[in-house]
Amino acid sequence: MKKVYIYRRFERFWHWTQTLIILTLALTGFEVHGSYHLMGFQKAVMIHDNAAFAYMGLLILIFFWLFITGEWRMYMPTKKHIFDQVEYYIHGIFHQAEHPTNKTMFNKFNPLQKGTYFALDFIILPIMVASGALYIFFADSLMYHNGYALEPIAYVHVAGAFLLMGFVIAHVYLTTTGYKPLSAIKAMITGWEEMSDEEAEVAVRENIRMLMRFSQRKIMNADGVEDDSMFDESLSLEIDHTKAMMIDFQKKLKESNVGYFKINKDGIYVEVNDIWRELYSKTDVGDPVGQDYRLNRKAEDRKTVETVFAQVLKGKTITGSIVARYNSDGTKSYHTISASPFYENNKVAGMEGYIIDRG
Amino acid sequence: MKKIIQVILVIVIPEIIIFSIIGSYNPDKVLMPFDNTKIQRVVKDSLPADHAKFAELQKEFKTGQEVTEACIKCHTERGKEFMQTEHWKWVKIDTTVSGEIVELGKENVPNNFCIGINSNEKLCSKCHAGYGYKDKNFDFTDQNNIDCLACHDNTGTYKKSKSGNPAPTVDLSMVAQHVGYPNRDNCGSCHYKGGGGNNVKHGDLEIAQNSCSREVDVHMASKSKDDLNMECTECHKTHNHKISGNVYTLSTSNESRSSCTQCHTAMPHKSKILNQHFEQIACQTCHIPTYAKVNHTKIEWDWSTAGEFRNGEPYHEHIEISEDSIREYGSKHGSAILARNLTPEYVWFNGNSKIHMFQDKITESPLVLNKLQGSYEDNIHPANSEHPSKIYPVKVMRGKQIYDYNYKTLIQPHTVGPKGSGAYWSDFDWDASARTGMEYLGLPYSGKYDFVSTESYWLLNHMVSPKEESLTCESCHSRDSRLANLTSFYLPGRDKNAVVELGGILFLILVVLGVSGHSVLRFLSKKNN
Repeated sequence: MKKVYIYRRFERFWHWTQTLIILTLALTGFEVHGSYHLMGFQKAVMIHDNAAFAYMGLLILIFFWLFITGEWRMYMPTKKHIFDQVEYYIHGIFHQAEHPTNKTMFNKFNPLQKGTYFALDFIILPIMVASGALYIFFADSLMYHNGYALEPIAYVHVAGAFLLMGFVIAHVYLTTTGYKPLSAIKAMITGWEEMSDEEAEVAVRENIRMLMRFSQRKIMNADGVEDDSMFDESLSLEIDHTKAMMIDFQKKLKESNVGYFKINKDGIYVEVNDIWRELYSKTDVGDPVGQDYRLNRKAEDRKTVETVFAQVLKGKTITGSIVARYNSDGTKSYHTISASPFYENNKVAGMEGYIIDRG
Repeated sequence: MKKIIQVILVIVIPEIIIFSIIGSYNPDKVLMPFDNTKIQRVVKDSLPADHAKFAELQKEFKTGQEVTEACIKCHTERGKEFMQTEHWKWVKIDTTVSGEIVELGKENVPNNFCIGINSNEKLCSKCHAGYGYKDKNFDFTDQNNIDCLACHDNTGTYKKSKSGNPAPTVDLSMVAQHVGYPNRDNCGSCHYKGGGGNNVKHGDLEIAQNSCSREVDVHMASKSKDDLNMECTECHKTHNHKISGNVYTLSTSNESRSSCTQCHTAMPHKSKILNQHFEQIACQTCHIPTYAKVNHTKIEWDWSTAGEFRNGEPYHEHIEISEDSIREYGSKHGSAILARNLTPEYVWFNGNSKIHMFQDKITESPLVLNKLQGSYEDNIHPANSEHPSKIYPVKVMRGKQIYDYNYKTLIQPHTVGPKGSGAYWSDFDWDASARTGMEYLGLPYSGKYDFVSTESYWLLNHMVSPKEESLTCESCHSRDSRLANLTSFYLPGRDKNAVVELGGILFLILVVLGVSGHSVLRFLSKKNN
């Protein structure tokens, strides 16, 4: 489990302020509606009006920030993966399936969220603000003096209130569908979201890629033309940094009894760790570095590893496959393998992964 | 540690600041609120003339007319002046809604209490400011017939009896020598007792108000040192015997009103929102939350059950239905219900009303004797922006009275008279009463009578409660609203749309069910793994 930074300070401030304001508006609003009696009609109206004006101020800040930072793009609805997402929520989630989409700092929302938040921010909230403003100023407005009734404004406002309440209930529940039930809520407070190692890696890579793109666009040479060469340099710096993180991985790997291997795109072993050597010590493979990855396998077993290698080179991450190794005394031992591609210069440069002995 | 500090700074502290402002900022304040203590009260002469010293009044007066003759010897023009007013004439010139000029007053307008004075003057004139009004031949041009003492007696001993003449027990010279400004006793001696007894008619005008506490009537209170102890004439300003403040049951046009804004201005509250309510809500609506606070008032009077005898004799009985209501039966009057601590009913009113006269055809049941004009829609394009429609509190008097079945008009019953005259209270015969009554009026009677349900509307202006008792927002802005039957407009807090409400609640139930079902399934599936 890793933590990745997703939510910035302004976003968190905006989210919680909005939460409290909406709850205040709901509590006082339904009292103004006559549904119950808590603090008295006069106080309910006063607080509702104050909260409404505070909310309008907040919304100005929010929309300003959304447009200036480009975050508005994240809210645009999309059809990509939308059915995968629906299928996850109504089926996959009960079978511990993986999320079909990944959460990164630059793409926080799955397609269902995009659709919902778009409807909320650009359709429902503006309607509520408009109907609310007309409601407050109705008596002085031209509408009243020309014989229009308050009914339609009131009905729209109340209907929107019910919709928002339904959203709040569903939203709070859906925040529990993260890595762990409280992950998403903690994330919205601290900014760091817990996710599985694989998801974290995807997130970090995505972040790096996006930040790279931003920097790339902003580098120009003396002629005022965008320059890619500096881009390469900064990219390799990043990759070195990633490598350093990997070495950190390795250390931890050693302590965990997991065998590690690295195979280049030509299928030749480049690196293995001590645990790997230990697991293969009963075979007569010897030092794998420089050898073909299929080693001494025959028939089915050869096919298995070939399939895995092919898929990983295409960019897929494989977990849980079972692979055989041939021992000197003719018996076979099995280990579980998980492997993923590694990159150099933005291209797949080979396969690396871990093996765990099964006996 | 650093993370927690960040969270507190970025989230917790801003919320505390923002919400302490939201919870306490009250923009609803008038910059310079009206100060009640600045109201100018009427200043009276500190040393009025001592009438006991006047030579003219140092004699034995045998009749009321003799007293008046003496009054007029000094107050030479007051007689002619008084004879122009409706306290004398019992009619007033008025303009109807359609522009017609009519004469309306106690003399010719039917009500659903004692119904009408014609043929019954002997008893009704007990409240006439004159002597000898015993039938329609009363001489309205003789100044000496004016009763000055009814309004100007300051001894509290003056009483009137049949035909408006002074009661035989009254010491006329003593009373004449102690006259002065009219006080609550004077006005109240008639205006409290309309309909045949204390507080029967108005509900908000009764003898208890002569010495009551603030809780009963803020203006007329006189129990404690700080009480206002106001006289009727302080609001009902009088100039040359012309008293302001028409009663709505006898007038059609919105003139000569006595109003709260005379002293309190149109913006008396400290809250802007409450001042804004003035546009569509009358002061009385919030400030007279209850009426008939001390003594019962009559709210129903069914004449049709009159005439039952017990053991061959007319009888009268009171049965208490509850702590605040009484059922009354009298052979002479029929059955009635009296009640106190009543909640007013509320109507839209723009100051004009339609008065139903004896000659008018009855076209609806219940028949509304004084239809108060006005509505919510009135205000969108007001006919007269000086007098928009507002919501006023009223006492609704519900009755059942005699009418002509064929002509479909109200009948003036003859009730006061000796046996054999056709008077109902002596002969107990509706047919005779109807015949003699209508004959007296000079109007036709078809011979067939029946009883029609009627309603009359009495606006409440007195028994103003202290401001602590005034209506709260929730009195109207709630599901249980006092304005439940004024449905032509949307009132936040009271009204809702059935479809939106039902749809909204169903939607929320579905969401909750979905969320609970989904979470249960997730929980179970995790357990399985």
